[in-house]
Amino acid sequence: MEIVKLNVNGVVRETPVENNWTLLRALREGLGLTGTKCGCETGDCGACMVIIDGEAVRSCLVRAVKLEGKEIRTIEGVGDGEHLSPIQEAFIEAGAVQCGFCIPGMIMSAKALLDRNPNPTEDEVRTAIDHNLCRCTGYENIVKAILLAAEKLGKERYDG
Amino acid sequence: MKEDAYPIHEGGNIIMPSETVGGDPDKAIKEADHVITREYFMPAVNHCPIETHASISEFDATGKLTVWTPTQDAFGQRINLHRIFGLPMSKIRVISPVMGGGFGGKIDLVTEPVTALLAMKTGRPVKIVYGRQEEFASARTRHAAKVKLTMGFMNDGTITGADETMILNAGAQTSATMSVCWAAGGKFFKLLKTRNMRFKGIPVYTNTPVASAMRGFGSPQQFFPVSSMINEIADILGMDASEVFLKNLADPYEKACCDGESFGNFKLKDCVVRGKELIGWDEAVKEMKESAERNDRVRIGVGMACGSHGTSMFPFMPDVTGITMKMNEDGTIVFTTGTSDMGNGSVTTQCMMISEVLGIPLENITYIKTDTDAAMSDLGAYASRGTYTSGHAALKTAEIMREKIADIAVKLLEADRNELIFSENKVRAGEKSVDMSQIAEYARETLQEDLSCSYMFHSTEGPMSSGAHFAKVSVDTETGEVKILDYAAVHDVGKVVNPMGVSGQLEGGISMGLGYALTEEMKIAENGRCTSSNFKAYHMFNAAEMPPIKTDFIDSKEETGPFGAKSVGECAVVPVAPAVINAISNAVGCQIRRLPARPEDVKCAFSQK
Ligand code: FES
Ligand code: FES
Repeated sequence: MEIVKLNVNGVVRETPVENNWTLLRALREGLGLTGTKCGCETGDCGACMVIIDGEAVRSCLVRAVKLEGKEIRTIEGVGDGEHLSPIQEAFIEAGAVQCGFCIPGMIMSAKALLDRNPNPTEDEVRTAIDHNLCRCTGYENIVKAILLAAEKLGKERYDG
Repeated sequence: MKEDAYPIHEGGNIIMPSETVGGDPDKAIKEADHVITREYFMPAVNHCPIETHASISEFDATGKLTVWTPTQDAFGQRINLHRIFGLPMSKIRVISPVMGGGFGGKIDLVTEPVTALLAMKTGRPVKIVYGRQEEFASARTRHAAKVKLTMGFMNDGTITGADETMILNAGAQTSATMSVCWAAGGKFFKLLKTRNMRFKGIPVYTNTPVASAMRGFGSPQQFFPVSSMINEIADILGMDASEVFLKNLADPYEKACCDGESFGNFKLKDCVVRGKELIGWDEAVKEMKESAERNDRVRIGVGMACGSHGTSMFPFMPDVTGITMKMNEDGTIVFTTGTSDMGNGSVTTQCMMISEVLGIPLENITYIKTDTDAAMSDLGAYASRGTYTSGHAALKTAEIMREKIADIAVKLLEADRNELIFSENKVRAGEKSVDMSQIAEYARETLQEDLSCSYMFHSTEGPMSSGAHFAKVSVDTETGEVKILDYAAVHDVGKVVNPMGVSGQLEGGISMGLGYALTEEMKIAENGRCTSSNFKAYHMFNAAEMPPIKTDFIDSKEETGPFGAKSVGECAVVPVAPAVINAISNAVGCQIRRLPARPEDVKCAFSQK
């Protein structure tokens, strides 16, 4: 085991990892951040999606030891701890959550998209989550939720 | 099945054939104007919940086994653990905390006996989480099926007789195979008006992964052949497919020709009529014909399919759900339910129904769920019984609680029982009202009791839920590439009690069905091993691949259901594959009878027309 310093949700924390551990494993087993889910470990489902330096990244595909100095955001860092973020609220309002297992990953993909493109089209939304599989919803309400989130965030910016 | 086949278990590879007959199918088929016989093949597919199977077991110093597992059937699992380990049920507790999708795959014991045994042997808590490859290889599958179907029909499109043989691949163990076989057979008799039918089911052992319940429980394997054949009949007779469906679909309160069981208020024909409007059927058919006449490389195709499904386990098993409920000192409610929620919203529906009956807002209602020590039993989250049975249990229990609240309200309000209105966390009578907290206070201070009640509901009917699906596709006849341009689905779910929930279920069912139609298949090697090991190779639909979907629910009411509701969960997936395959078949001019239809299969069908 070696110690790695990871900047997760704005806090730099140390955690012991094996050299070959993925970020997913370091988050869940090292840091106890179990909001990031594991659905495959082969990069195919997107349940493990996090944001690294602004990009949506499947955390099962990157090694933890390579990430010192990078800014990592996980689902635990999307709301402020007390309030849900507008994206999370939109997911609830649009009925986008069934079993919920894919949702943390969906929200991270949505956040990465909306951070760089505040007014996406429906096609852009669908492309942004095409690495996130959902077996429950057929994606309809998830897409609606992300468009609704864009609206909410836009209004928030406008209201200042 | 062959004489000299290697026996997987003693007694041969055929588990137990079943046969059901209504009327005189042989005579009807013989006397029909036309007779066709076709064979259909459907592969094994995987449930693919994004959360794989997992469980944690603990065996404590008192000799008590506790198993935490995302299961659809906590009470069934307890019975089976009791059988395996010989522990009294008081020493086994199964808790299903939350579930990351089930779809039928989380009914059987899979990892649980292993963690339980290891916990008992080591005295330590033990956890197993399946990887995705293990999920494919050794969780459960939908049964692969080979179906031979014969229909006799008249020149006007009336189907007078039908005879079907279905071979179901159970894999290496029986699991729910016999039930799936009977269910598939039962549903054969619950779609059409046809009075002369025979179903033969032949479930067999093979050396492949174990098959069990999966969303639809025999219906997908039943209605792919039936809907495909109706499409072909229309083609043979030069009739519009929707007309042939409408001619043959059952009417409300039809009785099955094999056993006289009622379909309930079965409004599938209304679904067809509405669905045709949604997809723009007539224009789409015109486009299809024109693209064929022009000999376009990219052809338009339009197709439809129908399916039905039950709403509970009635009359096959005691279809029960028990609820206990109490009012807290501040007038809020907590109830204990045996119902599992795999993300389909069964427990949410229970909360909504309780809220509706008591006039207590949702945020004041909480629950303890799916804990075999705490809750009365529930048959399990399968058979699309969540709303119809488990919802009904919540409704009935809430009605008992309402009477208890009313007993107090009449005293406090000095009002007549019939005047009472329950809304906004209050009981009102005319201008006067009392808050639920005052009711609770009176119960505690004056009566010195907690308002509490429990009730176990059992269903006494099993009405059919149904749906009609429509697909419009374009097919590149040179590459076989299919694009779904439009998709419409209309269901009869009785009264819609949770609009967002019901359309979410339907959309999810459609995405799963599209995979069944076009991409998903468990690849099995010669030696019986599953070689599908990851999502990439298996290919479920993603968001960018989904077609535009229109859904609707017809205005219907099932007298025997809670607030008039029936079911949707499983039925949602049933008509999808045949609707898409019929659309493709109509585009290429050749009926495809094998799932999934990959581009090479579509290309091949076109070349064979
Ligand atoms: S767990 Fe990383 S993509 Fe599935
Ligand atoms: S909500 Fe269940 S996998 Fe997406």
